[in-house]
Amino acid sequence: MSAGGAADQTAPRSPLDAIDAGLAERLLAAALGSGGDYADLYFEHRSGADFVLEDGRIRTVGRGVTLGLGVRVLRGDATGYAYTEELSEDRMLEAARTAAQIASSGAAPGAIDIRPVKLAHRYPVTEPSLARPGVDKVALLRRADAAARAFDPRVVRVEASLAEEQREVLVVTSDGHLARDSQPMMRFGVSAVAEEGEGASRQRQVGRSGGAARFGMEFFARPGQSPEEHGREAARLAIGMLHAVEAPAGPMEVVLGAGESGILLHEAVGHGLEADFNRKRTSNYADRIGQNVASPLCTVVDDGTLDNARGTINVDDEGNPGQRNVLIENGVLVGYMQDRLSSKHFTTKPSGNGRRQSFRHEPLPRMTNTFLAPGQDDPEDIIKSVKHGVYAKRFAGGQVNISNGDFVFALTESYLIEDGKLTAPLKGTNLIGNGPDVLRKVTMLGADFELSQGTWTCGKDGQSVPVGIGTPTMKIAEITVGGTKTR
Amino acid sequence: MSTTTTTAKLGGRRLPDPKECQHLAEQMLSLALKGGADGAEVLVRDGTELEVKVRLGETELIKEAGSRALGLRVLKDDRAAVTYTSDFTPSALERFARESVELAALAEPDPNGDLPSPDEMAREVPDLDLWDESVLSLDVAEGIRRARAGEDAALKVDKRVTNSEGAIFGRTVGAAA
Repeated sequence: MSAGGAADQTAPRSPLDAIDAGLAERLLAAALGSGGDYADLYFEHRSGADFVLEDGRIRTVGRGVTLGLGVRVLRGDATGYAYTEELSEDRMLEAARTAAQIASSGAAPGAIDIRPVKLAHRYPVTEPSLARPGVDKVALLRRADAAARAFDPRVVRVEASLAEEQREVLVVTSDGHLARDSQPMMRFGVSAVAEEGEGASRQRQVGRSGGAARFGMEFFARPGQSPEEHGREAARLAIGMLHAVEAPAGPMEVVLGAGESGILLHEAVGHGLEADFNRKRTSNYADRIGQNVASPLCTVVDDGTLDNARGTINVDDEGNPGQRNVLIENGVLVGYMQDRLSSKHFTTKPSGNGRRQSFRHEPLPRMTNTFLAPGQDDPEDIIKSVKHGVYAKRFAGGQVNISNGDFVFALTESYLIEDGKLTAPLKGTNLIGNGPDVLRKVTMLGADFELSQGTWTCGKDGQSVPVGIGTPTMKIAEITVGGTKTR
Repeated sequence: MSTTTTTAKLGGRRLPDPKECQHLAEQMLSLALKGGADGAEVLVRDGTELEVKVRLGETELIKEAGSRALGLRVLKDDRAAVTYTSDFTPSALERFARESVELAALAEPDPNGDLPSPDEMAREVPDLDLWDESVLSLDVAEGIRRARAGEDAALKVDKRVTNSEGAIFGRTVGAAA
């Protein structure tokens, strides 16, 4: 079956083409054969390849294919789930009957009228990468390697990697919806190690640059995304860290740079806005719709519609179109990110946030591209306004306690701000605080929005999904900086 | 080491069989060599999983499935490629073996990446009594009972424990070769 989604006339025939309406109806009928409110079928065909260059040599080349079906049955808040890699009708019916065991009322399901869902095309690929020869990808890695080494003689080691994937999904639901989508992902990364000095005073630091987005080979033609630019950036970060000073410690003003600071928003606020945590009342945002939860400067959005972005989806993994959702508006909590199960509980519409890692996993409310909308301030004025503080530019990632929003993040690029100017690069900087508290303490919000181009992956309940993050430059009145140098 | 036979059942499902995995692995080895590889390593895994989630005493999730996958590393002229597949149809396996060998040509020779010599390989695999037969009796009902018992005990520790994210019980049975 094909419907909605981007249809590429030159693509080879997909195994998902063999799934016809009659088969889908029989499987859904088997899934609902013991009762239940709803059932869906999730077919996934994924093929990918990866290449790693290390110490000037192509060390690893890899390729893989997975194909399977996940069947889900819902009865109230309960889920029955089964999956199979064997797409014979017998095995698929067996999976449907296994998923059906969550229900037991024995009610016979009615006929299902299957109709395609009309979808947007947010990642049409003009240069599909999997069909291109491997030597073309190896060439990209060599270019990054050469650029990183040429940047500075202190660069002693370089590793570059490329991973490409095409994921095809077909969702058919007992509500009669059918959605088919082809989702590309290109990921590129370079890491450089710089070394200086001898013996006891030898310094070694690593720098990384890379990104991921829904493109084919055209990924590399974009400004800032060529192999050379990533190679030079990785080298620049490594060299910069050689003379970094210890980060200060204690509560102080922090300026969060545009783009990567969005990880703080994602972890410390975003997860708390997923509907399942609020249904279970384990989130600190539970029962607070309509209340003021942040500074009036703050509007938090989860948007699955941004063209080619890593977190973008034409359709979520339950067959609902990706959409733009305002979650906090001018400081007031207005909504949660919903999957189908949560949306029934909250008697609201699904929001296009029902995502799964693969056909082996049941959907959960997940983020897509999550960001803080820009404000009015000039980013330069924001830095100038700080007498003593830290400018946070790049993040390694972090952890959060969603029940209260407490977080810890490690920074991979940060600078001391002294009398309104960026001075020394810092090492060993951590930000320790509380998400909702940070949103209340936003005192300046830049007009310069940036969506990070980085490779961000969100983990929840053992399931990973690709996501996007972003913010404008912003000033936080106070965050505790974890460093080793006391004033 | 498994003491079960190939006809053993696991709550109605076919029990993963190490001999079947071995047969598939040997088949892939021969396909890889026929496809032009100088050497190859194969790992076949076959497993069945059960996961049950309970919250505040109510069943929230029952998940059950079987899964099979094959990983292959081929060597040709000291160059290696690592590939995986879950498509076990005969034509797919043959194509997979051939394409893996072609892929190796892109890598660069690594003299340290060769296979161990035959005399370095294990001859006897001791039976360390790692297989617990009672896993066969862990079905959905038993999983729910155990998850509920765990969550119940946590909620009863103190009256200040007022909520729960849920309790999960999971069981996997697998064979590999």
